[in-house]
Amino acid sequence: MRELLDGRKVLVCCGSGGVGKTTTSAALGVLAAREGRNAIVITIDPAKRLATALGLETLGGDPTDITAIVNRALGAQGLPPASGKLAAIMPDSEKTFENFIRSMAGTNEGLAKRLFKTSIYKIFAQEFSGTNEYLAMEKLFDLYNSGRYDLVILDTPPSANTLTFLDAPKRLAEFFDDRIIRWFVEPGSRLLAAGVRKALEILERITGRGFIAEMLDFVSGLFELRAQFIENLRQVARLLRQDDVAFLMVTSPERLRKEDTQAFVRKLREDAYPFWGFVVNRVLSRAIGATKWAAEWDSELASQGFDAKQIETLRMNFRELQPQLQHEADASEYLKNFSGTRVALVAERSSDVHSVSALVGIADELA
Amino acid sequence: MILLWKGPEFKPYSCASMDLTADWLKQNLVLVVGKGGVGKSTLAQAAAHALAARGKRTLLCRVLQMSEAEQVLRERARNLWEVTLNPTECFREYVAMKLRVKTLATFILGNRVMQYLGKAAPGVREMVLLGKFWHERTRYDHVVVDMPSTGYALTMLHTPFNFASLFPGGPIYHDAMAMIGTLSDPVQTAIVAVALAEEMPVQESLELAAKLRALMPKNVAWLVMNRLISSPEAVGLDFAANGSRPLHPALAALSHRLLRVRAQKEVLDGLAGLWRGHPPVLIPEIQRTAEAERVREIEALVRA
Repeated sequence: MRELLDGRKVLVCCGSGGVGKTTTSAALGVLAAREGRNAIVITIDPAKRLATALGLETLGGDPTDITAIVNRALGAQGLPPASGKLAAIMPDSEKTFENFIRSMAGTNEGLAKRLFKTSIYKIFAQEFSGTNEYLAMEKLFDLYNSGRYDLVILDTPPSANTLTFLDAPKRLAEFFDDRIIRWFVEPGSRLLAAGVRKALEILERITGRGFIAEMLDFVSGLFELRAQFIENLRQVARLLRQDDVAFLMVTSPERLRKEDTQAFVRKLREDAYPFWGFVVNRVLSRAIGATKWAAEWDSELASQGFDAKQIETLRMNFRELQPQLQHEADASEYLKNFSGTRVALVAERSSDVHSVSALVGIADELA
Repeated sequence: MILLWKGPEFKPYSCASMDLTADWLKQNLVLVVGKGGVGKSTLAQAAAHALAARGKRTLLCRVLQMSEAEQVLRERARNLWEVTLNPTECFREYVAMKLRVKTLATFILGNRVMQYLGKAAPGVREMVLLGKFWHERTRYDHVVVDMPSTGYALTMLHTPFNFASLFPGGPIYHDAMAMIGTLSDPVQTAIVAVALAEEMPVQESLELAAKLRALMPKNVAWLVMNRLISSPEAVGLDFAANGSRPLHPALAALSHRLLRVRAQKEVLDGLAGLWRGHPPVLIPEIQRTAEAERVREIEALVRA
C-alpha cells in the first residue's frame, strides 16, 4: 500500500463498528512514518488499551507526537527508527454537541453561553447524530490547513453503518433547514402568523407549557451559527474531493454486508469522492496460510512425528474452521468485483490489537 | 444449549447441564442493546422467534438511529409480528392519539414546521420512538426491541427523564413518568446488553450498565456474551515453543484457535471482577454464513 501513500495528503478510513478501523488507521500512520512522512492520525474512540499503548491518555487533547513510542517498538523488533514522524489526536467524543456549538460560535462566546443555558440544550447535548462526524471533518480540515503535517489520516467515528460518515453533513444541513428555521426566527413572517403559531399552540397542549418557547429560543440561537456551519461544510466537501485524498473502506469477512458495501461505493462515486479500495481485516486464511486441508498434509504431519490420532484432531479442528475460511474466500471474491479498486488483506490476530509492536506487524502486512 | 455463566471460570465443555431458563426473556418489554457488529439484531430476532414459538404473541420492533423506512407491520410467523419504526410516523401517531380531535391533528401534522419538529427537534424524535414501543407493549405478550447502537440507545432511555424534569405538569410529563415506571421495573422490562469477548464491546457494556444503574438503579441489566469460541481438544503439544520456523498450516490453525481461546478467557476473567448485573449468558460461536441460519440456531439454543 506504499502506492496509496504516494502523493496523498489525506486518508479517510470508513467502515462499520468492530472491523478494526482504528487499528488500520494507526497502522497506516506507522507505515507512513516509516516511509518518511510526517503524519497524524485523528481517532475518535479507540480501545482503551490501544490508546494507552499509543500514549493517548488525555481526551480532547492537542496532537501528541508518538514517534518515540513507534521507534521503541521498531527497535524491539530489530528494525531501524522511522525516518518520518507520527502524531495522534483524540478529540473528546463525550461533549460533541457542546464542542460543535463552541467551534461554530467561535469568538461569539455570549451566543454559546446563551445556548447552553436553554433547557432544551440538555436534551440535545447527549447525542445528536452527525455531530461526531462533522467535528471529525472539521478537525481534519484544520490539521490539513495547519501545514504541520504532510499526511492526515482520519479514523471516522464509530457507527453501525459505513455510510454514516458520508451522510452526516446532509443530516446536519437538514437540521439547519433554512426555510423552516426562518419561520421560527422571524416572528413577523406571514407564515408564522398564519399557521405556525396556531400549530405550536396546539402542540403545547401535548408538551406542556414552556416547551415551544424554549424550542424557539434554542433554534434561533442555532440559526445564528448557520452561516458558519454551511461555509465550513462547503470547504470540507471541497477538500474531500481533491485528488490528494483517498477514501478506504475497512471491513472484515465476518461483518461485510453486501448492500452496505454497494451503497457506500455508489455514494462515493456519485459524490465524486476519490475511492482507493478495501482493507479487509481479520482474515483467518492469512493467519494460518491455507484455505483447505490438502491431501498431502497427512503424510507431512506424519513425517513431523504426529500420530494418527493427533492428525485426526488437527483435521477436526481444521474442519470446524472451514465455513469461516470459505466465507472469507467468497467475501474477497466479491470485493474484487468492484472495478478500479484495490483489496488489501490483513491476517486475523489471535487477540485484540493493543500494542504498538502489533501495529508495526500490521503496518508491515499493509506495506 | 445456552450456557449460563455461574462464576469467573469459563468451561465451554462443562456447561451442558446448566440452568437453561431464559430469565431475560420473561419480561413484557425486552430491550436488546449493544455495539454495532456484536450480533444484536440476530439475537433480538432469535429471541422473538423463540418467544413466538412458545405461543406468546410477540412483536419484534427495530429502532434505527436514522431510518426513514416505511413503517409497516408484517406478520413473520405464527404469533410473530415485525416492524421497523419510522420517527415521522411515530410522531404523527402520537400527536393524533394525544389530540384526539382528528381535524386538529391533521391541521398541525400538515404543517411543515411540525413535520420538521417531528424529525429534527431534540428529544421529540427519541420520545416518540420510545413512546411507540412502550405503547405497543400492551398489545403483545412480549415486545422485543432491537435498539440502536449503545450511545443512541442511552440517549433514548434518558429522554423521558429529561422531559419529566424539564416540563413538569404537562401532558407529556405524565407519559414520561409512566414510561420511567415501566422501564425501571425489572418485572416489566429487561435490558439485555450484547457483547463479544473483546475489549471494546465489553468496555462498552460495562459503561452502559453503569449508566443504566445511575438512571434506573432497580432494573439490573442482563449481559449476553455472544459468539464465544470453544476450546478444541488439546493434542498435547506446545506449539508456542516452536517459533523458529513457520508452523504447518494444520498446526497454525490449532495454535491460532488456542491463542484465541486464551485471549477470550482473559477478557471473560477480567469481566468477572467488573460486571455487576445478572450472571452473563454465554452463547457459542455459530459458523453460519447466512443470517437466517444463525437466527434459527440461536433460536434453538434459546428454546432448549
